[in-house]
Amino acid sequence: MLPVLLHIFIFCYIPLYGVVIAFQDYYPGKSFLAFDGSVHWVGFKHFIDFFNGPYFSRLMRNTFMLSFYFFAFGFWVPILFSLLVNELKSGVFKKYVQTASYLPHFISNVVVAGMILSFIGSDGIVNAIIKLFGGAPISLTTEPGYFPAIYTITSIWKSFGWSSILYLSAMSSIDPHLYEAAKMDGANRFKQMVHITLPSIRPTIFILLIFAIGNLLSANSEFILLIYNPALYETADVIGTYLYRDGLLGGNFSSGTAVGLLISAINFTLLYMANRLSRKYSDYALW
Amino acid sequence: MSAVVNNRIRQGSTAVDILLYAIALLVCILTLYPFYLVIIMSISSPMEVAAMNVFWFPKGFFLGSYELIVKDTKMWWAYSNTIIYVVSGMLLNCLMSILGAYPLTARNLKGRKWVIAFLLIPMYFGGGIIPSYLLVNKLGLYNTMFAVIIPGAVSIWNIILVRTYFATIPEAIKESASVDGASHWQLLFRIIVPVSKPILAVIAIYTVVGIWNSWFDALVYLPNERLHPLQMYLYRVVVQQTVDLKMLTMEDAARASFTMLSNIQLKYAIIVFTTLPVIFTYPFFQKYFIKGALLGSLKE
Amino acid sequence: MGNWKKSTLLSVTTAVLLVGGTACSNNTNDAKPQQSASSGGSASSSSPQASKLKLLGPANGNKYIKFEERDKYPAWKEIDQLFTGEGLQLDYEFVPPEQYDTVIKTRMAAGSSLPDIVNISALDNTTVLNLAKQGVLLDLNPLIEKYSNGNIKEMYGNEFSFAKQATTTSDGKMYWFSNLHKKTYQEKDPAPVALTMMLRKDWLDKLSLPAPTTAEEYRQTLKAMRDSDANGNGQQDEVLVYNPGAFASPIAQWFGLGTDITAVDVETQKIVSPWYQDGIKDYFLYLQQLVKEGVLDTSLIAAKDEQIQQKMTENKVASVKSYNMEGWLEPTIQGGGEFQPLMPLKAVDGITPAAQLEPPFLVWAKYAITKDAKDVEAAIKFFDVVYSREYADLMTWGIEGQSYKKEANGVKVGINKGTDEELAKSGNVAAGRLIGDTVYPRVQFANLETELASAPQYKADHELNMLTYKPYFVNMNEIYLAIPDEDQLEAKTKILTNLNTYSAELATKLALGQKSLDDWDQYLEELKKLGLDQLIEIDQQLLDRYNSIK
Repeated sequence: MLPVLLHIFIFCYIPLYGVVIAFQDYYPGKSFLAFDGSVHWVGFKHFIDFFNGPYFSRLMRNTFMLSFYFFAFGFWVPILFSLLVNELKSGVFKKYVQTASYLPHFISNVVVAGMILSFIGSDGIVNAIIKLFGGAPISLTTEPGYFPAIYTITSIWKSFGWSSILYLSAMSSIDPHLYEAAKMDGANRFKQMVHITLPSIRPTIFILLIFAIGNLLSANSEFILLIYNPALYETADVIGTYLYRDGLLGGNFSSGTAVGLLISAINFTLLYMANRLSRKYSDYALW
Repeated sequence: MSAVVNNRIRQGSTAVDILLYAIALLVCILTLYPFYLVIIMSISSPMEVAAMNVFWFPKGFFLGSYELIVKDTKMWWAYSNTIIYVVSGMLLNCLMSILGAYPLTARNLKGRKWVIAFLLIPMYFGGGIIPSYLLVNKLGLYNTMFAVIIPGAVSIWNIILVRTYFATIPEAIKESASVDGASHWQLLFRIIVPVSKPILAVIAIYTVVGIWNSWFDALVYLPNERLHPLQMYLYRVVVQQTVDLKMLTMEDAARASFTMLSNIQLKYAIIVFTTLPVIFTYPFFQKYFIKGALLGSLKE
Repeated sequence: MGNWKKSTLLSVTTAVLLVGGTACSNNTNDAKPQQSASSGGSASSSSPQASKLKLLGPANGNKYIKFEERDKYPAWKEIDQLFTGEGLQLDYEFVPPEQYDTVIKTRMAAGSSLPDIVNISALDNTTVLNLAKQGVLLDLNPLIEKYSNGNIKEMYGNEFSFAKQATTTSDGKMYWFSNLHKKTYQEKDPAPVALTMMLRKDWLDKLSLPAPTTAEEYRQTLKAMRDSDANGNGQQDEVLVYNPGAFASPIAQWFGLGTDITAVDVETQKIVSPWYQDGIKDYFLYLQQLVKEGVLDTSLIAAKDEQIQQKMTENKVASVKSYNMEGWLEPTIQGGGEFQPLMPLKAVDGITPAAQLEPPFLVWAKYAITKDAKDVEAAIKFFDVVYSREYADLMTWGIEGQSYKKEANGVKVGINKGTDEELAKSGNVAAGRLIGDTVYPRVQFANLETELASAPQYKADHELNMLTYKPYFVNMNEIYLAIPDEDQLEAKTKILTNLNTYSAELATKLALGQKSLDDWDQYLEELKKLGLDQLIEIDQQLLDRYNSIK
């Protein structure tokens, strides 16, 4: 136990003092904690600036909504998918399906962004299909309303296979005797699934659920940066992308850290609440 | 009687079977096709790739990118570096995760709440690049391989996963072992670990892929090119495309333009090259997902 | 029993790997001293008192022309001799350029064991000024006075007098050296290069259309190209590639607008903002028309280069913004094509269309001497060599007969314009391609003749017409502004993110027709609220200070 704790202490807690720059005006080269007046403390200035910024509510809303859509629609996909795979008879096909499902995880964001952009472009596949059905081409790249859907679908596509690995491993440790016993009691496949498979992966589901809630304020800004444009700012501009543009101007270490700290605090609070709820209504909790 | 029941069940499930297989196939296509696209683009000529004319088959067979990669000694260094990082990281991580998770399963651990809080906080709060850099520097790890291996040896996420799994191991096993007079270490390594193969396999996979794909640590701590992992190599090629055209003179713009065209296609070749090995980790570890790992460990 | 074996095996394997890892890093550590030994080796023939300098900079990111192979480039050998001739022994640390950003920030943050000379171009002004204030970067003027042999003063004072204006801080000090660039025509006239809208010449010929002379004709020409399927693929997909969110696009200049949210009008020495200028509403009306008719490809409005390249290769681009004498777009078109640069086109009665020019005088990048420099005199000597005519010629031109030739009138013209791969094999490149922007500043006495020689007649003619064209706006406004002081910097950075976000979003939405021009007053109010007027004022102060430095 000790080496682990030591390691975490060294590498995670010691650098933690860096958060103090959220309360300063910091530039690389300045010291973090000095008492000789070289550190410029500004209290909560950065946090207040962020709150009062003209785009604050929009950024918070977008960040939250995009994460929420992904959570609401995407949390269940890996579970359903792993249930599906579990029902397949093992063999070559099953292996292929599993391997294929997590391939998107390996395609880097840059390539995915490039593909998406060419799919939704004016001459892209999506519009081609629409034209096939006699509709007028939609400008998917400039209508903010479509962006959440594009983001959610792409994110789910990219991550469901990889996430399902965890569920599949939990399912594989289920005692086959339970299935046989259920079959003899006359349960059909569906009933078996509901009464045996699902409950066995409940711990995993709950833990992941709690963590997902604790991540509600972090959207994948790296990906968004690659596919957004000013016309989409209304739904696509999230905290991460805004900070990126801010950082391009330079010298904004402190405000970036402050905002990051704020988001972490919110996320952590969500996590804590989710954990308490989970402990109340089920046996599973993080602590 | 049971035979009749069996037959009825079998009949009922054929239709469902077909449906399931159909869905699985659809999913397969949706996820496989883009990757297939990446592969065929990596062997098509740059112009065709730039025009995104490639859909089903490669156009203008072109192995120049692969040639460039294979001839580049830096790439081979990166490969061997990555393998070192991955293997060491995976072993360390598995070890640390087991060591970290086991005590958490003991019901009477003192200060349990605090330990867990201690574990959770760093997952959300970090000090930023610069303090971490200063720390690594002070420890003398900067610009050495250890700067990437050691900080990455512990993953709190993995510890939590393993602990969750450990918690599902029936108490009976643990009790029977301690009745036999086993110490903690023996209990851990002789009984619990073998039974935890599925979750360890998952962690191994996650760690292997995670380290294989990581470049951020290298970006910050490894200015020496010789120590770069593969993804760092790829990152550099990809980033080279995104040149800031604001401060470029006309001559620079010309050159940037030429590099960009070839980089578009080179990128795909590098992706294939760096990704193919690690895709096979899952099938490799899959055999540890043996059904009924707990089977037979319990003598009723 | 088996389990114990397994865990011992585990730990042994780990140990072996770790030891192996140590060995590997030891090897690389061994490799490095060898590198500096070889660079120091050339100093053997020079004076016994070799002064050592540690330099940190980004590596040259070229795949073919590599610094490790520098000994096969004659231009490099000459440059090397310039330095060793002064008794300088250079010890380099080159970091991959894509990583340099992060490395320089972390290094400067640590503030210890800094190199003597460092390339800090990746750091923003705020950070640099703070480092200067802390004393991490040395104040250069007194050092130049004390140690320089006059070269630096000659370059900064006479040849590139604008350099001082752009690099002197508000307290009169200079903390970094820069890349210096000057482009002339016939050795005397300043030669700006124009950025214009390019139009497909081969399509004009194919459809027997004359080149447009007004903005209206331009629109009609684009429409005609689309309607008549100029690329012959059976679909009406010929497009204009244009970004309405930024004003740095030449069509905006046709309406007399500046090139950025605050732009420098060089002739009147005033800061202007497109949002306040006369032609702004007509500009958006025009763009709206282009969008409605499907001529402006909306999916490309903020596209990355890759998407634009895709359209280009697919032979669908009718018009795009580029340098007037470019030669790099055409080869990427499948099936070939020709682009012709357009003069600024008249768009509104009463407004003379402006051109967008790249200034003939450029200052960029930052190279500083740090407080850890033990031998400051040697550091200044380094820059004395850099800012010398020999160095400049070797960097920009290379060696006569190999990478350039002299025309009859004494003007240098570059030769050997092959691909990087070919150039790497022959070794005939100017040194700038090998070491420029690393720790070696670029000092360029460029001329227009080189480009004119390799461009087709109609492009060359266009450029000659643009040499004296007025009015114009420049594509790099920061060049004409002095370095802000702390307060100005803080104010600027505070305003700019939000203002830029608003401006880009508004401009894009107006062009797309998603927002209406009827609410114009509202928009102006919002812009004022976000600090547009304040920004204009600050920039005007900076412009004035720039002009006052001599």
